[in-house]
Amino acid sequence: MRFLVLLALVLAIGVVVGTGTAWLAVSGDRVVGPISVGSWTAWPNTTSADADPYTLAHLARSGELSLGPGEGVAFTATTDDTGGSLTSGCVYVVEGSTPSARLWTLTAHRQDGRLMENRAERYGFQSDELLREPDGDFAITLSRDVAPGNWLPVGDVAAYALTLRLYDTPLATGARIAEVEMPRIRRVGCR
Amino acid sequence: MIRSLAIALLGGLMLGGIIHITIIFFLPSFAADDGWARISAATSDSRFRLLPAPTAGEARFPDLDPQLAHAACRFDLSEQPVRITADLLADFWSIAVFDRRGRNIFSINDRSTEGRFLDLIVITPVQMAMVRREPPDDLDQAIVVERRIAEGFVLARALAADPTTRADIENALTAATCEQGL
Repeated sequence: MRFLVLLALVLAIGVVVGTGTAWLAVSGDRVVGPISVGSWTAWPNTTSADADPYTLAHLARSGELSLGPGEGVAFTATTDDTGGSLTSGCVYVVEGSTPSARLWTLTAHRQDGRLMENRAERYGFQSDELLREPDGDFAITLSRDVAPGNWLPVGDVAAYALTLRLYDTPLATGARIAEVEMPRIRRVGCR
Repeated sequence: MIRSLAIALLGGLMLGGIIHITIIFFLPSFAADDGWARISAATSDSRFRLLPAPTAGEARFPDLDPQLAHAACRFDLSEQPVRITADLLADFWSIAVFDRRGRNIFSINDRSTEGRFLDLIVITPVQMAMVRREPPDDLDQAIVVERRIAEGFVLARALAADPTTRADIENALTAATCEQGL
């Protein structure tokens, strides 16, 4: 009798721990290979031919079509520079410069990837269409209400995310990604 | 009593480790909604089809860039290699080859092809050995991707941020060919 109770305990612990940790490992963000610069995180080259089992399990669930080394690298951010979630109740400025790339795009979207409805029907910026400072730096204002300059409207959501995709960049093919300078995400104010 | 509880705990953790590893390794084989399944639902063999960019309502392919247009084509190398040709006049475009599991196994952009024309062959090593015996005349101008894979898909991305030229770029993407054989 006591043996059976202990056996049941072993099975219960095993099933809970095994499925629980597996679920944690494959839901949400990928666990292997993230590189963070400020609020930005990227997983360069993790889905190549020698991808690890965790990345494969993540791919199977997410159906992601990741950028390869010949294409570029995608950085995402869900917080500002102070660590607060990006929310439509606040106004943010994404400013500074990006690592060298032939082209980049910045997109604001819900955390599940859907875009946020807005009257301006603008969901992102492309590097060639930005108004820039004389030194090449840029500032993009993220807000619900119309803002002067480069304005990226956001919808009425509690938490959203930004994706900065750098196309044809030396970062995608190699090392030293942690040393690059990414744009800052500065919170201007909330209401 | 305490000792047998400790053994049960240890045994439970070890069993948990085995279950964890088993789930991680076998999950890709049972995934019903992976990249391949989504691509298969949106495309057909031997033709490039546009993929829907994320919208405010839906994100079937949540990590596609809404500023770009995307088209994909499935292939199966078990009988013959596949040859992809395209004429893309976008400021930026790229092509990636994915395997059945969604791994990005080869990628290239317009700068490395020196021009707007793309001629790409995805072939297995066995088929390549056969082709080398009697190479077709135009083989030397093509980019040859030799991989030991069976099923997979090709994804083409092209910059289409300007709404006035988006339709042209989408047409060029769907006009790209993706045919079995050389």
